[in-house]
Amino acid sequence: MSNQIGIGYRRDFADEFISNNEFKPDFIELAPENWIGMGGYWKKKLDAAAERYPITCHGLSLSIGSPDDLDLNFLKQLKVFLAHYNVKIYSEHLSFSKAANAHLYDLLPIPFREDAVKHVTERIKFVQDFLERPLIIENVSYYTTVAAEMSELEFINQVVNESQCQLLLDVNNVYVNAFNHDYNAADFIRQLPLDRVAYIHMAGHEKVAPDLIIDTHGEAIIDPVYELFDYTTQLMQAVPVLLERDFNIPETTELIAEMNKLRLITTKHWEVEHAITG
Amino acid sequence: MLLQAETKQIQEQLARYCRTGQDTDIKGVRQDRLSHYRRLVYNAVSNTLESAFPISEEWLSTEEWQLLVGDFFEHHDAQTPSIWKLPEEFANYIIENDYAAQLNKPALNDLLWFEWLEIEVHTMEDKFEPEGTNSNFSVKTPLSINPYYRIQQLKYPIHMIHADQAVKEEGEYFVLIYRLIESGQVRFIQLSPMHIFFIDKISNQTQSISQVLPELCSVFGIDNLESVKDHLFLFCSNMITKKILIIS
Repeated sequence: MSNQIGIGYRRDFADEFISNNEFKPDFIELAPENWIGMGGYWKKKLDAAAERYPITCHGLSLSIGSPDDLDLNFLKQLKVFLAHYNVKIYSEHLSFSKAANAHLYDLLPIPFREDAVKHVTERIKFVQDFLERPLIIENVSYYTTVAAEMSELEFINQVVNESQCQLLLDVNNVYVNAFNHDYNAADFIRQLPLDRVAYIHMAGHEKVAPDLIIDTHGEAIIDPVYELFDYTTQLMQAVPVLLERDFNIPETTELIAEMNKLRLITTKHWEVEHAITG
Repeated sequence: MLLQAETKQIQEQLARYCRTGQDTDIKGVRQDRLSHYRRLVYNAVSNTLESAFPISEEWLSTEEWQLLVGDFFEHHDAQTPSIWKLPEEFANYIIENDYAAQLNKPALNDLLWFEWLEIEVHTMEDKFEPEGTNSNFSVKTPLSINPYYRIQQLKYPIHMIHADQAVKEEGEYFVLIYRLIESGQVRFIQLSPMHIFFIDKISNQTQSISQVLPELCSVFGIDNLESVKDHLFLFCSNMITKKILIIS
């Protein structure tokens, strides 16, 4: 699936995946939690889309950084679901969304600490063994650090190195974090283990204060994030790229235009340049 | 566990803050950014519940609805990893904690559970669907039931009239909520206890009217089997038309 451009599968525009011939993502991504155990009308729609597109999965509730135990029942259901839809890529967030026996349904920042690295590493390995497939971990956006004893960059690098997992590089999240925490996004990306990146996410965001951006997935990708993506693609091998759009869904033509823009960049760096140098 | 007790405690403190707004003295956080996490977590839950219970939300005042959502958010430990199933936990929480009495809204429990059952039936996992035939229907025709349904017993007829009016019509109502196999759309129909008994029998085993009739008449103390047979024939014909019952 290298150098392919996909988009998040949303109910809001589910019919477009089936009936709009102009709308041709290379693959679609969905959150398994939104579909496990579901039948009926929406399941039929999903199955129709699944006949046309390969599916990748991006989880929400695994809560890999949680102080709570992993949910084995959920993992069993997840394993069946991933097999059923022949999912090749399964990713999750380097965050936690459950604590004190309660799900929170959003991504909370893990304290950047040595013990958290060990804890997350152990859980990544367990999940990979249980699911019998790689677990790809995404760098998340965060609005405050929590009891940090190391930098975000050190934290991500240590988790990837110690678990030997693959990385989902969310370029928009790097941009958001660089803005919110005042660091250089390009420098940050250059220091990531780029040889471990297996998947890229691109998205829009919302600036809610002069010094704060919230990662909403509700706006179009802005030019500086495209520029950061262009820079990133020059540093690494071809991987699948996903456009995330979860809210404020625009006309499909706008989504197509965004995917085309991403494809122009990946083609320039991952196909044309390789053809020249090759 | 490799996680130190202090790190675990800090994570739980952050989660607790998100749910309660209390206990903001969390080690190493930017206080001016903390509220965004509480807002994001609350909105995820609140938006899900608003979508699931549009009639209840519109019926209650803003303050009443926010009380229910706020209390649930703060005090209930959400168990499902799938947020679209959270409305079931919400309905159970509100019913178990008797907010209907607290708010003096006697029809609240019926309405919330009815709205949840519509979602449950709509999203119910696909099952073995009995294959129907086009053979002529008679009282000896074996019948199966569409597998996608729930039966709800109501104290107030909130399925027919506004909840404020429904409280004046207290009684015993049975509603069958079902999903059309082909379109996936959800419908409901009010039934009598005798109909419910019949549906229950058919759901356990494919049977004809003639096979169910003796036990049904015995349970309901009916002597005139022929009149009940005619009644059930009309009832089942209607249910077949509505695709609730299937000729096997």
